[in-house]
Amino acid sequence: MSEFVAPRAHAEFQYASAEHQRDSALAGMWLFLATEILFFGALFYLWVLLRRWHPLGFHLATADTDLLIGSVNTVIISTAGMVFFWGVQQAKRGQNRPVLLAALASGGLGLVFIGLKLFEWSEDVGKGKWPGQVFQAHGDDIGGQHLFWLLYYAGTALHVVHMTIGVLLVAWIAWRARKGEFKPNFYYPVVAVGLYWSFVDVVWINLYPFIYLLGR
Amino acid sequence: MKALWSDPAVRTTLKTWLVLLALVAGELGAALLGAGIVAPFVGIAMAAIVFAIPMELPSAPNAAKIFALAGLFWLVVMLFGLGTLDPLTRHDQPTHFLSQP
Amino acid sequence: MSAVLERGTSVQSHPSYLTDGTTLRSWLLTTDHKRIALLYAASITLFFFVGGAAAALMRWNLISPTGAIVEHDTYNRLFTIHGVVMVWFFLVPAAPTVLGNFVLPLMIGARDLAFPKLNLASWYMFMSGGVLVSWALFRGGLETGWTFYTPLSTDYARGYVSLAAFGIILSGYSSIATGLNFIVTIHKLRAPGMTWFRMPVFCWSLYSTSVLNVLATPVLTMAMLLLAAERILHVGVFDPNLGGDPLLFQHLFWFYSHPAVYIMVLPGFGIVTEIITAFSRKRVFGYQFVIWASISIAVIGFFVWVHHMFVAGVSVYSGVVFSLLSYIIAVPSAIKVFNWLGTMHNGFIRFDAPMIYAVGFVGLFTIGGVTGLWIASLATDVALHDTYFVVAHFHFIMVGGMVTAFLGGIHFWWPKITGRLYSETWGRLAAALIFFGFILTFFPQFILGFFGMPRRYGTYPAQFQVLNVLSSAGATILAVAYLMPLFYLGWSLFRGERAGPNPWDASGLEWRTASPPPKENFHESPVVTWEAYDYPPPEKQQYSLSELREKTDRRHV
Repeated sequence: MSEFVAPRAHAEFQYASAEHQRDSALAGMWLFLATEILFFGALFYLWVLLRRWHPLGFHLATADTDLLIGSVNTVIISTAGMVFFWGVQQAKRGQNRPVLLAALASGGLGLVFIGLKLFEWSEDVGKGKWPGQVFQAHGDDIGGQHLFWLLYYAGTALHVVHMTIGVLLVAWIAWRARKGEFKPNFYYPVVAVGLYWSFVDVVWINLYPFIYLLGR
Repeated sequence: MKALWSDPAVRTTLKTWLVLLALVAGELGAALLGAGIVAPFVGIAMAAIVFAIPMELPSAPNAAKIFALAGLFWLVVMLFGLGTLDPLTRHDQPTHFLSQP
Repeated sequence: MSAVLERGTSVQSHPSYLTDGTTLRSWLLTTDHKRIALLYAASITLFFFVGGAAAALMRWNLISPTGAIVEHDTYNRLFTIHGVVMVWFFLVPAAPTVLGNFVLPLMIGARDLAFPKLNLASWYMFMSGGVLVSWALFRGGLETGWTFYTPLSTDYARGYVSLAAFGIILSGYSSIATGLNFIVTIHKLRAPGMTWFRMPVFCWSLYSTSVLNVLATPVLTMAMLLLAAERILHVGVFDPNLGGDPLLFQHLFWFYSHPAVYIMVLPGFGIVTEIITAFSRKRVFGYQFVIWASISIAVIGFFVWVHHMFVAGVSVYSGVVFSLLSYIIAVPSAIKVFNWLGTMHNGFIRFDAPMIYAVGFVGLFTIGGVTGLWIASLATDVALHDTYFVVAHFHFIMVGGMVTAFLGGIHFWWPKITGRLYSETWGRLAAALIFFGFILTFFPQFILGFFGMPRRYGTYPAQFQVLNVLSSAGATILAVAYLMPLFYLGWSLFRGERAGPNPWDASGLEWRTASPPPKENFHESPVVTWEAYDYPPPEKQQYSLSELREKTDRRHV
């Protein structure tokens, strides 16, 4: 993660200027996101291959997922991302109050997402979908269904962890906006957090088809 | 309201949001109609939109663009390209699952 | 080009990064890249001796065909902990976090890395990982080999697999953080005039290493997480009983671990280039070739991982493709060897300790690299896979190569880091002893492997005993030789002659500031107007070779 210091337009001692620090911070955040692409990418790699080898099991398992919650969550997270984006644009104008509102709204939506996800997990466990000895399913290719649900929990759990970190970062931005820290020449923490937040959105946008839509 | 709409930031945000929602509706509809196979590709399209607009990749510092492209290149060419070369050209026998008789 | 040849005879100690704050807190909460380098140095030295102790016990056991001191299960745990510790807690971090952390900002004229707090955090992540792995070790270790193949590691192993896996994940985050820091630093914090193609080769090596760290390690994280999930929950994607595939684990594991071997050795290429140019007093031969070779090795290094799986059940089709790619990657490495030799040719060569290490590296790495071709070839790999031939191959590169290069770098930059000169006599003696001990230890292993002795076995057929005893004898010499630097380097901290800014008369920005440097590295930010390695051509050297030797020869010390 990047160096979130330097209030006002002052820069850390190793940087020549505030612009220099800002560009470095944003470059660093994108590089970190590249590592996240590889991290989640490995999971998608497994998903694609195992799906190919167990088409029936994955098809049957998809039918047991909660399409309503999944779709509602997709709408929520996309909205949260766009609300924060609006906040980023206000930050560039040095408007702290809109940033605060955007961060609170976006973070709030994020919390709703997490809440719905937790509820959905309890539903899934109730249906007997927790992997291991307790796993229950109907129809053929129980093994394939079992693999689907393992990938489901791995993907959604890792995503929720990232989402939680995102909510905390967004809350931090809200706090700083409340203190009026952002100026037209100092707003890059909002951009950096926005990058992370949008990326968590991208991960979900790609999980959604694999979990709820393929093979329905 | 009019003042709100005249703000380019609001317009961009709203338009992008509506496009994303339309794509979600589209892929959902396709899946319900049995064409779920398009869904991952819609996901890729949505991801591209998010990279381009809220994440502002086209106007990011050059180093950032290089890093993003490297991540995507490695994902696609490496993991999904070379990485699937072996699994897709192997001819395994199906295994028996413990849970089946 | 500075012609200062200070041996620092009368330099009093001056304020430096070492004296800036003397409390424990000022060290444990430092954000100064130079202090963090020393924190890492302490850690990786400790881990080196832990991994080395395991190796010593293994070689002792192999004196007898029936296993001299340990049972099979213990032997399995020894080679596992040796591999895990040496790979993730010594070879991967050492050169970047110790030498890279210290020297990189100095070399490019920066005042610190791009993200100093992230740098400190990376050390704590590293130590947390080390604590977990040490905890696993003290509770009895694990017996899976450092490669953690499933289903042994997920279903059958009785050791502390998950604990070790989490420790490795944490050390992986440390590598990612360091790599990220270096990449952004090199992009953004070069001093005015320090263009990309004026950077010393070590910087390019660190950049290439960091690209590998950043893009490969996340895949390992996912592999280890799923491994732990499979072991803890008793279900998984790598279990054939469930329709999973053990080869998927190997794909994810080696997708990281092959680039990892380049993470381990690429910094060594850079270090050796710095040493050879300094002690030949010549600019590097073929600068552009060297740096593009480094980049190529980093990129192509991502394309070869299946060569670890040729006999695991991958399709022959993919075997052919990856075998070809593995041959291709030998080319840039070979190019570099020619570059080093070309640099030395017609140079003013001095065989100070760092140079002995560097030249040793060139020879041993070449042998190790060439033997890689035997195992990259599909047909011969069928016979050589999982034998001591492979063990010898990678030890020639990692130990004969990288450890040697690391020690060379430690000696080369020791005056800069500590402000002291070590005893040149002891330095050369240790370097020579390491070289000979190494060859005695590992060359017999090529022969053993060729004749079929398998790796990871604590016992063997009696006809292999002579070679094994030779190897163990060499290991004893190596052990002594590796301990020697601890003594004379440690001694130099208290009694060594004080060093001036540039005791080797080397080029490079790091030699234009005091030894040891002030906290902010440079009193004035340098402005670079010269090319890298701006040594004068032989006919314009300021000193004759004998004068040069006289000025820098410290055998009497």
